Amino acid sequence: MEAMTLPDLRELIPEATISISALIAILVGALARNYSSARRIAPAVALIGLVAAVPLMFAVPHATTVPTARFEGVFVADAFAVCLKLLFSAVGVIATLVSVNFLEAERQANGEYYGLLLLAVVGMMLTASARDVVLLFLGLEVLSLSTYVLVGYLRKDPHSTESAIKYFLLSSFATALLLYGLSLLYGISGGTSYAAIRAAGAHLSGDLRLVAMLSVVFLTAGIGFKATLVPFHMYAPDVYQGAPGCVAAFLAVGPKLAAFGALIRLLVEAMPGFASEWVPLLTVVSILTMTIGNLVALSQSNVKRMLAYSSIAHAGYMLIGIVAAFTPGVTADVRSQALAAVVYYLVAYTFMKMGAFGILLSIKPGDRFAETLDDLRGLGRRRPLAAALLLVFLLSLIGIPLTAGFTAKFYVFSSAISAGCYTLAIAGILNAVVAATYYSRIAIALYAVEPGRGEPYAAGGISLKVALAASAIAILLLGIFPGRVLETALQSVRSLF
Amino acid sequence: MLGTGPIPELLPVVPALPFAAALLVALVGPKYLQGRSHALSVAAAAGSFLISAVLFVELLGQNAESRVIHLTLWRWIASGGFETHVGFLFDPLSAVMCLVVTGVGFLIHVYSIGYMKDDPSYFRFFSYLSLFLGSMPVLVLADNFLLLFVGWEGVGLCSYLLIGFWYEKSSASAAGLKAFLVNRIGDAGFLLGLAGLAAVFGTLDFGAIHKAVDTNASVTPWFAGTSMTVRDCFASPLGLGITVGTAITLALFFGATGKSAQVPLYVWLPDAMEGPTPVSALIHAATMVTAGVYLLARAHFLFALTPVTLAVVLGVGTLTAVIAASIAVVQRDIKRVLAYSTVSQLGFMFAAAGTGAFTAAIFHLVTHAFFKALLFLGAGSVMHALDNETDLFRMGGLSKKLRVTSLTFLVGAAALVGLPPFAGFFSKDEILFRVISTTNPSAPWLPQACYAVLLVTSALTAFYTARMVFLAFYGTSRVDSHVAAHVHESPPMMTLPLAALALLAFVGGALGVSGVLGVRLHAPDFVGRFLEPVLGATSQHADSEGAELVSMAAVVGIALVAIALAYFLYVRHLDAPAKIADAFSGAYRALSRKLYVDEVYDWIVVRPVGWLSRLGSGVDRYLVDGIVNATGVVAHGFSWLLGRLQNGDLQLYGLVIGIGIAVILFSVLVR
Repeated sequence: MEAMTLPDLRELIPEATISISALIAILVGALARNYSSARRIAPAVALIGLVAAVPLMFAVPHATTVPTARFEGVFVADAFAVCLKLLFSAVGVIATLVSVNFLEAERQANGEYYGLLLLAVVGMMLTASARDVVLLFLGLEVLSLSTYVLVGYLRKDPHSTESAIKYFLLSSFATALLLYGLSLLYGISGGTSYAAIRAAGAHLSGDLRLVAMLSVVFLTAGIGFKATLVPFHMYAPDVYQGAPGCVAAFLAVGPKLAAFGALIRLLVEAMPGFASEWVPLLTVVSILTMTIGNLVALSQSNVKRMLAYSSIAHAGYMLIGIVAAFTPGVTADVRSQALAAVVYYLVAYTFMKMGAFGILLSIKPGDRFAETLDDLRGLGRRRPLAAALLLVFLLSLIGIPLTAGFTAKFYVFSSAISAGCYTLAIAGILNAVVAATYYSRIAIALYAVEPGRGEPYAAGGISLKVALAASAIAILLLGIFPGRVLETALQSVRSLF
Repeated sequence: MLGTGPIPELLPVVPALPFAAALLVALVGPKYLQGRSHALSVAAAAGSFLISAVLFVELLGQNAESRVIHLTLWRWIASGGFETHVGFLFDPLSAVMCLVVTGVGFLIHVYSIGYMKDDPSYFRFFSYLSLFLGSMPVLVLADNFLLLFVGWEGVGLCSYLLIGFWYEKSSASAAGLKAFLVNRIGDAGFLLGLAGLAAVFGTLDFGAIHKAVDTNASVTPWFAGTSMTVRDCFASPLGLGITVGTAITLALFFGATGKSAQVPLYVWLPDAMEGPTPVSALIHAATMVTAGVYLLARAHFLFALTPVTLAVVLGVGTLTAVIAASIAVVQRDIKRVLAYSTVSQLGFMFAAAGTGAFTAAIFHLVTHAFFKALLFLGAGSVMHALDNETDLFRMGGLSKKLRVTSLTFLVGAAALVGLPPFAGFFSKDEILFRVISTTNPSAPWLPQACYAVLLVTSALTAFYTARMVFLAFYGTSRVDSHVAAHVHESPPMMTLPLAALALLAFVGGALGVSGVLGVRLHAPDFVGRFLEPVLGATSQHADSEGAELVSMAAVVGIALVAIALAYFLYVRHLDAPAKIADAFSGAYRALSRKLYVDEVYDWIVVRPVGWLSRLGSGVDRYLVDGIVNATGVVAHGFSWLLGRLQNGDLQLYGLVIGIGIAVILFSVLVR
């Protein structure tokens, strides 16, 4: 291996920046003389790191020139990766803003929280750039390890600890399955790079084909766990419910985005020859994921749990776009449109889901944050602004026009139709109808006439308000002017081919 | 030459200012502004008007051919081969409209300060009014049909909100609903027209379509699949003797009949008088209801290709003019007289458009905006003085007590009748002469017939206007004694806008002296010249000077006779009208019941729809709901079952993953 020269590192600068700010945040937590300085400085460091990473992503002329893969093709910063990383930074920023007040209220404000959050974001970014199964695995593990700790961050809260252990054990199981799938791929191709796997996949025969199928199944399990696909989803409602509210907001979005980003790159760059194995499998998984997610959500009265099931269902919708893109026989145009629809969906999902979870952190009836439908009853009168914001998020989750959620569903369903996946499109639309019922239960409770119990007081500080307002504005802007983002998504996806 | 300054960027500010005011007033009005809510709205209206004026001056500073300010803001929709931008266009046509809308709008804002004083929902009124004043410029400044439609719907919404402003009054909310529904019917036609245009041209941009029509470019309509020239496409038959072009323009015109209250969709406008009077003046007289005329003028190049549609427009306009004028003759309510008068005058504008004289239509639109706004505000001032009395037969002799109001009202009335030298004279004379001197290949007899009808309408106009003036301001007072005690002139906040509008109604006609008068008086046809680059030249019909003078003399003469008749009936012999009504009781009843149009609509549309909806609701309640409820029960059942599985048991979750993988492997491998 030739000696690493300086330009080689340029594309890693965003990740490096965020990692360094993670370390600084942890140091701040450890060295700060008193509690109150740590709680102010650490999130500021985190925000600076995340925001500073954004212009650094564009310092590399990736969009105009052919992206050169670094570290012998392991790492690439093409338009697709940059697009996802931008989104990941946004996720990190929102998660940080949402966390500040929560941690303060729980008297838990230490630097390592933000450090871990940033490291999780770095893990996500690595998966977006990975062109080698080892780096992919590494990225997913960095993400997982950070989130295990985050879930159990409230050490004195038994729910938090229980969730963390549950999450850790089940996730380890899923990681083992993923690793097994990856090792099978290595067995087929004799290499770990996507290029090698792609080359081997081009001419598979007989038994090797069978091994490829096995690996596809195990990869589906491993990645599907992160993306909360059925039947690998069951941990999600328990873990989200038990995790600290701000962590749940991150957990419902971050790992899912990373999983979908990784899945897209894996399918396009490593396993295009395996499409005939993936498509039928993912079709069934998509339908099951949507349907089971929505059906179970119907009977929930705990909003956090309901949102968890809803996030499962949304993973099913996103999968529709992926299936549409890789259905054999679709034109390159339809393929990139379908993938762009998925990327657009990821963007929309980020804001509406984090916003919905975030709202719960701004309402505190009694001594704990809002969780149940009863906690939200009559919110429209007492906290009109919070109720209005939640309404925006709900409308978007339902998929009402002029919100991001509508445009996202519209693009995904129409890409399924143009790819000829009518079953999926119909299943998706039926599911969207079912889903509307439980979201509207929340909306109805918000504006119910009779007041619920307890007087919700304003728990949200300025940072939380900024995050929520920005998310709501993003949802409306995306819904009213979808063109620009879709165009960007389309360009980013085209950089893959 | 100022040309390349930052001027185009000012365009979006025209609608943006009132929108911002609407939002602010709605947000902080109830708590902080309350009685001062008007400040923001009035300031925004003034700002919009000033910017429009600046842009107008900018436009005048350029050559006639290059008088266009165009600004594309962003790409709005891009799907397949179809693309639409959000962009604003300030050409002479939109400049005229914009000046009228913001100028008259500003005056009416000022008037409303006095008129709406002490209303409990003061802030809500100004918020709506600003919303309207933002939407209307979007309509007239749009550079494509789709954005125009956005403004079109925006003003429709404001109209609905403001008609039903006093929603606790059931007649007001019913009138709002009626306006909304009737307009939706027209909008359906408009949308069909837009779909047709998009299908033929692949764009909804005014400039692009105009250019394609002018150059007879080759287009590939979605429905045809092959490419053909615009003219061939427009002439290709669609069945029932209608061509593609006729269908598209008829659909657009149908949309215009909804918004501009023409036959058969005019029925909402008289009921719209339930709204506050400034609203009637601004929205239902001066600006919004003229949007249909503007639409036709904006799309004049399409209508020019389709003589059949033009004949329909001419016929419908004329018919509306005469029907509404004859209904106005027997109305007792001063606002309803004015409402029917508005419908009738809009009919005149459409008649002009139907002859291809779009300049004349727009000119009449402008003068009408001045004098009709004036008349409505005057009526409002009378109502203000009389405890909201609107019955003409309970007024009388008000000219002594309401000096300013009666004087300005008189100016407005003279303009409406079309007496020289008031504004209405020039514009209406122009329209009448255009109608008689036009030829329509698809219906050669139509222009003459329409001219005769419009002449009668002019007489009716003079009659009902004079009747209204005499009943309200002259003769003996029939005001209730306890009201009469405190009849008072309105505050300056209301009389100043009256005076300003009266001035405009008096001199506004001078802006567009055309034809024989223009030649004889050496008056420049300012409006005609200014609009020429957009709407085409106004032919100086010098060879027919004699005919025009005769026509003019006839109109004025007939009007004077009608006024004399009204004086005789309503000042001298106030008992005579009742006797006449008795003698012609059938006709009188028919007219006072508005020719039974509402009843007919009730029978042929409203009731059948009611039956259908009851049927539908039955089907919905028992069949559809039954099915839906059944699925709901089933879904909840599944939900409960699956929920049982989710019991928090870690081993079980692991087992489900394992079983899941086993099932998948089994199905994959066995296949």
